[in-house]
Amino acid sequence: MEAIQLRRVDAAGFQSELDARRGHPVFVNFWASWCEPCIAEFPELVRAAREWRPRGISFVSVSADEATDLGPVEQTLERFGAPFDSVLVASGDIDALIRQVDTDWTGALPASFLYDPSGAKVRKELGMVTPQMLESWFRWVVTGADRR
Amino acid sequence: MFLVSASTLAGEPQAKIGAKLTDFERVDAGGKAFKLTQVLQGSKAVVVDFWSSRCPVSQKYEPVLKKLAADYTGKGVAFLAVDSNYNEPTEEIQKVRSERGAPYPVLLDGKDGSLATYFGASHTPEAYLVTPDGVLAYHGNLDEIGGALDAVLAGKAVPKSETRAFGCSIKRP
Repeated sequence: MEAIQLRRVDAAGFQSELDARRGHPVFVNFWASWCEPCIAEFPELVRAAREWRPRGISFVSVSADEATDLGPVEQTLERFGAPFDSVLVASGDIDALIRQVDTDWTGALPASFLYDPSGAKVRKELGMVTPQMLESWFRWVVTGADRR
Repeated sequence: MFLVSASTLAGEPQAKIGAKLTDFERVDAGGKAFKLTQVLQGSKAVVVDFWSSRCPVSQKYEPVLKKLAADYTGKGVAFLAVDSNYNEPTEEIQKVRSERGAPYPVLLDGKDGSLATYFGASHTPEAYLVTPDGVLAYHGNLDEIGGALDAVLAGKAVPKSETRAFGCSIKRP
């Protein structure tokens, strides 16, 4: 498996990551190694990434673990073989980062967001995702079949 | 002051910064009842922190909350922790509170977590600051509540009344 490159990002860094991926739908999942429901949904995210990355969706994983101790993040990624496009670690002003991602979000984990190719946030789940939800989100953003 | 959202429905969060809170009463893990209006009597402020016996972040922040209690109890601030996680048994809460040496009561929010719903609390730790007249002055993380406490104690406007942080989702049935 490829070595996983972790990158620390603050609010501006997160936005740069999204900007750099403009032109493709981007799925972003916020998690932490200490967050039980995050770990519970991790295999589903891995499965979804394997299915949907070849169809053009970028997967960005953002860890809320302490940026000073990345061991638990690396261990979690290795355990699940996370096939994501980017793995970021939230750092700096966390309040600003959470606010920027979503004004309704207080920082409870996990949380997932879907951005369309223009960079607009089009779906969010403040809590665990379900396989059905991801299927519906990704099918919608890729095919645009249900768009109105 | 604030416009009331037309979409506000029963069961949705109702606590708002700058608005007076509805009184509430909950018992702690030892069976003692705490009522907000009674705790406010004789207090210069009340800190309400949503707490968990299992969340590692809540555990990590226990020393922070204890330090705040140590620094501000003498200044007339009362501290209430609240456990709204349906899956954390009372005996466990009592045991963990004791092991961590938490000096404040841990109130039980019942299986429905209705206090968390009222406050709009979604994770632990997530803190609120109430002024002596029952008005919500701050909502957010424990790292920045000190500035709000100092402002309320000094009778000044709170500089930053809403902050955010990562935490464990409050477990609902």
